[in-house]
Amino acid sequence: MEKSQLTKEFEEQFGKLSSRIDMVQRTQPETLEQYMPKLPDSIPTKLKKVISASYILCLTEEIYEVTFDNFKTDFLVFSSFLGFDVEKVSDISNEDFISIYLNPFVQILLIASDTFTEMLKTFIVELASGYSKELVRTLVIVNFYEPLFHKILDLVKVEIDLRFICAILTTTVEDFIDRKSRLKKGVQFSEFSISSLYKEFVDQYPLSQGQDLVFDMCNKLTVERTWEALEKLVSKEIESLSKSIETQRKDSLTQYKANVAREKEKYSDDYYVTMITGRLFELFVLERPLTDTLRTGIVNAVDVMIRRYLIDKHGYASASAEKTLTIACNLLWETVWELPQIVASVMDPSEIMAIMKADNPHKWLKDKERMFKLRFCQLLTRHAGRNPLPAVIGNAFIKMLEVAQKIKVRISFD
Amino acid sequence: MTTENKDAKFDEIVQASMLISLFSGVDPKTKYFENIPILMGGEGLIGDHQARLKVEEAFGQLNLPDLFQTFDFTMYRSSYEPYKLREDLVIAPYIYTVNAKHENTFVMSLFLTPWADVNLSQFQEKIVDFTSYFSGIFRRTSEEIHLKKETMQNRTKECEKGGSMLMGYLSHLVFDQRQMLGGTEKVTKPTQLIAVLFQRGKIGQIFACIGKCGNSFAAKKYPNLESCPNCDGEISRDPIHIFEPRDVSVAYPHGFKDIDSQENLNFKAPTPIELLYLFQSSYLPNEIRVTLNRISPTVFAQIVPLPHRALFEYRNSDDVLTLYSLSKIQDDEILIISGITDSHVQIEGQLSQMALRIFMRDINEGVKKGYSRKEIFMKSILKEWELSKWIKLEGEGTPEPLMSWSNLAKELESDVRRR
Repeated sequence: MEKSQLTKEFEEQFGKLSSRIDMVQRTQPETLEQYMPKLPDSIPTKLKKVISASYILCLTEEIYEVTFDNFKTDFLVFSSFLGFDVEKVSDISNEDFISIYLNPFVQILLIASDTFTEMLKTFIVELASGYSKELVRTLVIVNFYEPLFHKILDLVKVEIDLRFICAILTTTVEDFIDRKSRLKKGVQFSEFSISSLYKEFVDQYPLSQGQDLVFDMCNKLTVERTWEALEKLVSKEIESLSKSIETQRKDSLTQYKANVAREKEKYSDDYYVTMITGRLFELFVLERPLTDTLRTGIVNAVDVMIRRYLIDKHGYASASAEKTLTIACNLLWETVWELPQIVASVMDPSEIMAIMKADNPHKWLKDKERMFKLRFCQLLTRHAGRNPLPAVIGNAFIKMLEVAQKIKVRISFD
Repeated sequence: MTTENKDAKFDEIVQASMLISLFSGVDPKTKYFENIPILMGGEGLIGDHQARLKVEEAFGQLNLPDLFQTFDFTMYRSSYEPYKLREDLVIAPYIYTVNAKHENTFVMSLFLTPWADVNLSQFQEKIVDFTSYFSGIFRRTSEEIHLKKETMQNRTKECEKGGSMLMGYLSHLVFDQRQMLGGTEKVTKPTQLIAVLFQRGKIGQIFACIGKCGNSFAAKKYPNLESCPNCDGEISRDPIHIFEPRDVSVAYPHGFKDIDSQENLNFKAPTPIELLYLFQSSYLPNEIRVTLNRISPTVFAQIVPLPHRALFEYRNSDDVLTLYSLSKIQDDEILIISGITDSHVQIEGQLSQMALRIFMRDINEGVKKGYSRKEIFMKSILKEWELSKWIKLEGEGTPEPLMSWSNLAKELESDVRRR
């Protein structure tokens, strides 16, 4: 039969711990002998060795730094929740003892101190970002303490007084703060003990069972007790981080403003018109013939111009026929207005005569611009048909250019 | 949060969004319930500095435990589309409600926002978690009262503090982290389409009693009401706009007509009138409409929230009923088409819940092209189903054809294809 994930995990953890305890037993026999006499006499020597070894492990791995007496009482209280009786301990084998009682206890301390290091980072970042303390408090409880609680309950596998787990967490936090703040003074053991804190919690908090209590319990007991010390511990880091966040924010704001300005410049109408002016310049100023290459070039340019404009300004490439035509007319008229030959194609012969006779042809044209634009749009619409795609508009524009070229030739003959 | 980087539109959306939550805990010893309303945000909507008080006053009167315990099915989440009565109304918030319960604690959460894509199943997950957290706070404080360590007032204060912590975190998730928007909604259980209701009617006005009886009175019949004719209680100052259906037509699978006579079925199939009641129970409660009107008359008195989607759960099983409605406005008249899907009715001729979406697409296209109801029906995926005539809803009592499926089978449309 295949082993379940949980069994595998358990075996792995248990194997790791037992081999590490073995290692300590083999390498540090003298230290072990210091601690072993402090344990109750009813515990067999084998188990005494194991408990003392696990204490040394916790110390060297910086999981939980307390005096041996505190460790002993905490462990015995924890085991009593799981049904461990000191009087009957001779019944149990060494391996069972490690897997049932010692492993969960050390694992809980390990997980708690790991999670706590991670939590401290979030704590600093969120407070430095300027969120309110209440919000960060909720965030920390929901994202760190709650999952941690469930992990621990999975590990223990029996119903246990939640206040005791809360006491473990609080002690780990306090131990962590204490360790950090006394780094300069030199190593000394902290005075916290889980079992004494548990007694306090029992007086403070009336309920002990039910997973719905986890949020309230963490908030009321652990966070309430450790919040101020935590803030004090990392106040300098929060300050420096909030300064750097502030400068980052300012930088990004200036960059954002510059970007917006650049975008505006990029997406002005001139930007789109330049797509087509080059080709029209070839056709009308350099007077090249309208070859097939030039023709497809212009059609493609009109197509791309309208689609780009729609995407940039409206966010989608297709629009209603009416809208597409209006956009095409406006953009094309901008290009055409620079080249009077094409404007001439929408004029009557009488108007061409009038412009030639006019004193100030520029002013004359300027005055009648609206009328010519309207006529240009009507012609373009007529060529493009009822339901035009951008490419069809390009073809319609080509038709108008053909007419314009003929007019140009006739004018030049005159 | 970088306030400078946020665009103005986003600021406007945040200001026009509001999260109202009502926590209700039943004291395990005394069996009385205590309501704790919490209001977050809504600076752009609230025109009145006393809004918070008004919300507390109105929501304090709601009886949430009844909502969960009285009917055969309980509504867990629903969303409403705003129908604007005035064209120039810029901000018309969508309304979402999510209900949850955990042991003796009940929560009703009302989320008003211009965002149209709030992912309600994700939102519900969070609310369910938070309900359990709140339940812990309430349970502990109640126990403390029992042990005479705490007073009732302190319990309210502690619960308010805890509730606002949770709701503050929720609004942080939505607005700062922009979570719970878009994405696919989780399906709790696969359901099947059982019926489609067509309703047409107009927008009407009613006055609601804010006193004891909570009845409503049509503004047409009672134009100048000053106090409730029933219980002499206070009457809402502004009338509430509601959708008044004039007639209804039902489309249903062919096998339904014999369902009343089949005795060996292990469930009671809902009758047409029950389906209509189901639709009506997805409306926002009148008390809430009155409160919203009082918070911001310029916005809420000018919109009619029409039900869009709703999820009901049967009270004693994990079966679900869902409702998906679409409203169309055709020359001054509103047509609401709602598909109802159920996870525990198994009858020949049913389609899966996905068919509902296809049908709604058919309807959208049909209405766009100006087809009549019959034409839409005949061209849709449901063309094999039966379609009833328009049945008038006005007048006293329940219309006879809606009482059972066999009655309804006598009122079929004449030119819809017969089998």
